[in-house]
Amino acid sequence: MREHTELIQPPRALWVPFMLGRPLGAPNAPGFQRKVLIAALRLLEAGPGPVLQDFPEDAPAPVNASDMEGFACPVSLRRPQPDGDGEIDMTQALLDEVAQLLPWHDLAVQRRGRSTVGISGIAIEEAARYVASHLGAAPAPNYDMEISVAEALKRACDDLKAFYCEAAAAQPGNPAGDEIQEWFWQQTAAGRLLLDLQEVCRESTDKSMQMLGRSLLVPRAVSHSLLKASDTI
Amino acid sequence: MVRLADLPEWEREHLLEKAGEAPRFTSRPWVKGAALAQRRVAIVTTSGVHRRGDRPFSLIPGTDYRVIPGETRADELVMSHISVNFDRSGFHEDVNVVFPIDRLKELSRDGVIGSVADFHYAFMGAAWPPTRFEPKARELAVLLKKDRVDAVLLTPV
Repeated sequence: MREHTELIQPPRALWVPFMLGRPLGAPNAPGFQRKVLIAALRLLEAGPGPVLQDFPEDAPAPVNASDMEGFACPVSLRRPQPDGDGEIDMTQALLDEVAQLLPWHDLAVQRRGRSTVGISGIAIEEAARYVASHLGAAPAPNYDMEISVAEALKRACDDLKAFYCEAAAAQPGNPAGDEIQEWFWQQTAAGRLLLDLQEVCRESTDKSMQMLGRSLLVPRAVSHSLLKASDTI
Repeated sequence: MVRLADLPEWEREHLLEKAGEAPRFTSRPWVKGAALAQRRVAIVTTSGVHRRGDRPFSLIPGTDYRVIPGETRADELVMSHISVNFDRSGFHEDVNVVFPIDRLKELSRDGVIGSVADFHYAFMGAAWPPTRFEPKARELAVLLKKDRVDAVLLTPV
């Protein structure tokens, strides 16, 4: 934030007008990244300090970004169906989604040559089962006994989110990050499950689980939009 | 960094509240160094990036860091920052949007900077207040000097 930098006054800072999480501006834009980097490094030759300089350009828009109507995942994710007792098996719903998205995730890995999934160290299906089990009365045993349940849950949730995000990004239309976020939280069983899990964590007697439920599972933007939606009902 | 005006009101308020709590420097140290073309540059990021086999950052924010050797390949890097309130899709596509190691190597090859450090470092910048990082920052300064580094690029998320 420019406002924070003005107050703290570090010796040298380049203010950039990019979204949080993208300090170099845009992915796969080497020319633009190079400009940002040189602008920052040139501050080493400026003075006297404190120097706060504004980078003059906005980040380039992604090529072939989907239109303003929002991203509609071409993979028709089946809506979870209630069983004979009217209950929805969220574990199965999640595993079905993961299976449907796997070919797209494979494609993403082929194209990018990498995946950021893997913080938990377990397979994505196992991560899905582990996360879903925490909505039931008997959560699955921790997959890593060296870390707390909250830590294990956080890592498995982050892997799930990264898996969905990478799979969706490989689909036609080159959806933007915020469109994928909206899709994840509003249209997938995984998003719904994490919202339910947030409540479970908040009600836990374990302080780390409470912390997870308070702020480390669901983005503030999603919580605010849900709150706004419920206010208008 | 980001434009406050681009953010919704509740997010603006949250971030401005943090600004009020931010520490202030009590002095104005200013060091002039060599020309950029002679500098040896390291990246220090607070993005929670690390190599896949490294221990992920903890749910309880600490001030520990991970070492990223200069020869680390992009496909070895993952991110375990605990915050869910910044974009990760850019990092999923290209590590350089957070950790511009390829760009730095290009600048070195083109003679814009002198050289790239052998080691880079990553924190998970959720510990508050930021002054908690001072002991580790001092520790890192010694390590950076041993690597003959005389310029550091700090990249937050």
